[in-house]
Amino acid sequence: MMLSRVLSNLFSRPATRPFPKTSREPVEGYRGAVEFSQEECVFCGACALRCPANAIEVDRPAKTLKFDLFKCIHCACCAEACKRGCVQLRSAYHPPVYQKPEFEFSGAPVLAAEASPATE
Amino acid sequence: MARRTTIPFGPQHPVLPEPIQLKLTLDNETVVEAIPHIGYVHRGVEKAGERMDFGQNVFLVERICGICSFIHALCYCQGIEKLMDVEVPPRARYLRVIWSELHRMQSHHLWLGLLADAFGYESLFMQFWRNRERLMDIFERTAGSRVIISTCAIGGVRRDISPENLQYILDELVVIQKTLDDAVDVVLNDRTIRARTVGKGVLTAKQALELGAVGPVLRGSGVAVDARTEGFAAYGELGIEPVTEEAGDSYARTKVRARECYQSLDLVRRAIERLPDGDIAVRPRGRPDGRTVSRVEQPRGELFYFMGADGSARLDRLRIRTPTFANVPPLVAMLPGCEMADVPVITLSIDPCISCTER
Amino acid sequence: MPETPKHEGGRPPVQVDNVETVLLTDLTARVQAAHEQGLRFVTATCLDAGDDYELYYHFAHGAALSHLHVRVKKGTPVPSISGIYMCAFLVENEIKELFGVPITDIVIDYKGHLLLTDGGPTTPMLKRQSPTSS
Repeated sequence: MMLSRVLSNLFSRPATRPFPKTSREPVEGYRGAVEFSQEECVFCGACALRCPANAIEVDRPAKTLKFDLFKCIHCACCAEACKRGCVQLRSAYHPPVYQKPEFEFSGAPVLAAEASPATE
Repeated sequence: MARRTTIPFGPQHPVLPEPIQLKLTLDNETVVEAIPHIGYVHRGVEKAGERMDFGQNVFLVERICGICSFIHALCYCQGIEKLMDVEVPPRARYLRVIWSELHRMQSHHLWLGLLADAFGYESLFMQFWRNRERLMDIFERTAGSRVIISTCAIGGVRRDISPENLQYILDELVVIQKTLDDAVDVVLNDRTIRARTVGKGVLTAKQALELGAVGPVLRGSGVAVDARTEGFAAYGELGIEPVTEEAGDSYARTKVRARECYQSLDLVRRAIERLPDGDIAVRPRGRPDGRTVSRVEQPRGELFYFMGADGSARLDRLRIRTPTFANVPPLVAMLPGCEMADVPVITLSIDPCISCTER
Repeated sequence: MPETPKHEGGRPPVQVDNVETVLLTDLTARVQAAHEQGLRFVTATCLDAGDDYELYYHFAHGAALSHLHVRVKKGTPVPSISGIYMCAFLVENEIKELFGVPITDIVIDYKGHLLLTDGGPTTPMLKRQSPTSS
């Protein structure tokens, strides 16, 4: 028993991956990097309301959305809450960073689009 | 001439991944008294539970314990479902069993590995943790996250498991069982491990009941109490027999956990086999109102929630009694009389989870 | 997930099964009786109900649960049950610290230092925080 383990360990490949050289493909459906599609967002605030960690702040009159990645718990509640599907969790990891990124966008393009619905 | 000394054990100790201090009074090498001191990782989860929306709380309670996150969410959701009178669809109940049992296996693997590590059995530790990695991969693929899987929701589950993934789980379980057979054989039959666990930290059935022990600590003393026999989720349909051992020592507790791994394997297989079709969630209406208690069986023992709601979006009271909280008094009773050198293994034998304990 | 704020008025609030409300003076005797019946002490729960505290003591007998419920005015000393069920000492210390319930004669009394430290908040679980509460 012992000998067979020694032999199998000697001649088999290691159980781990040499990480920086090879990395595993993230699986389908992994709740990873949070992405907002700025063009689609109407700043309704549904995602901010449902977020358990208060990582999203939406200012409806000013049409801005702030997202704090370091508060985010990757529960995908925002993606479920968004009726327009503009929040998505990609199956990829957030890369490590040196500084806490501030993600913020405002709704100038959306404002313009909303202002001219009659042209449709 | 006996000399009495007091030695602090912890809060930082190689066998303890988490901070608990035991003030040990020693008579030469023999422990006379042990006083537990906690309070290093108190996070105020119960208070936070009163400030958040009752739906958001699901994600809060999952974070009480990383190792049995799903089961915390399950307990909370079942309580809220009772308050809101929600009937969970059968498929969701079976999926809950699958994830719960995978979590139990994962937790017992982790613990068996830590036990091996406490004896200095590095290779055995790696064997268990390598096997556990397969379970973590199952979570990643089926639930979308490895540790805190966030699939339980009020009224059901948030994700379905596809037929391919069910087959994938079954295939993995075959490999997991094979590796587990080898590793458990070492844990239960190795001479050194037996010498250090058999007859150490004995807790009689009477003591265990009186001190409010739960889970493998209680079952290791021969008391067949398992909250799963109540039949929550789909346990009622699947049927479950509590795993018990008579001796009440560290070895018996180890054996209970090892046997529970096999029980979980069996339960997952049967749940997959009998998994009904249908919806995975119902949309709850209204708000929780009233008071209720909810109980489930965690890998470490019985988890107890008390919930009070007044019909608003926030809960009035969320009381959480985690299994380690109940297992600390039995630990205090086990230690007197043992050798100083056995304290780490006996402490480990209750599977302490201090972050759970303090919440 | 819940998002309908509409409250159904028709359904009465759910109540905990198998609860018995007892007087504070009878508490020790009732817990003693539970101990003699061989019930396992599960835990205790404290609720802040305005001028009162509500205490639940949960017991298990096999798979069944039973509960004792006590309502006491704030400031009234509550006798410890840790003399009967030793394992109650942790939860009683916790209730004493987090709610400020004056529980007397706990077998191991941490004197407010089980979970909290000096300089930290006092009685953080109370609904209304007053600077004088200790």
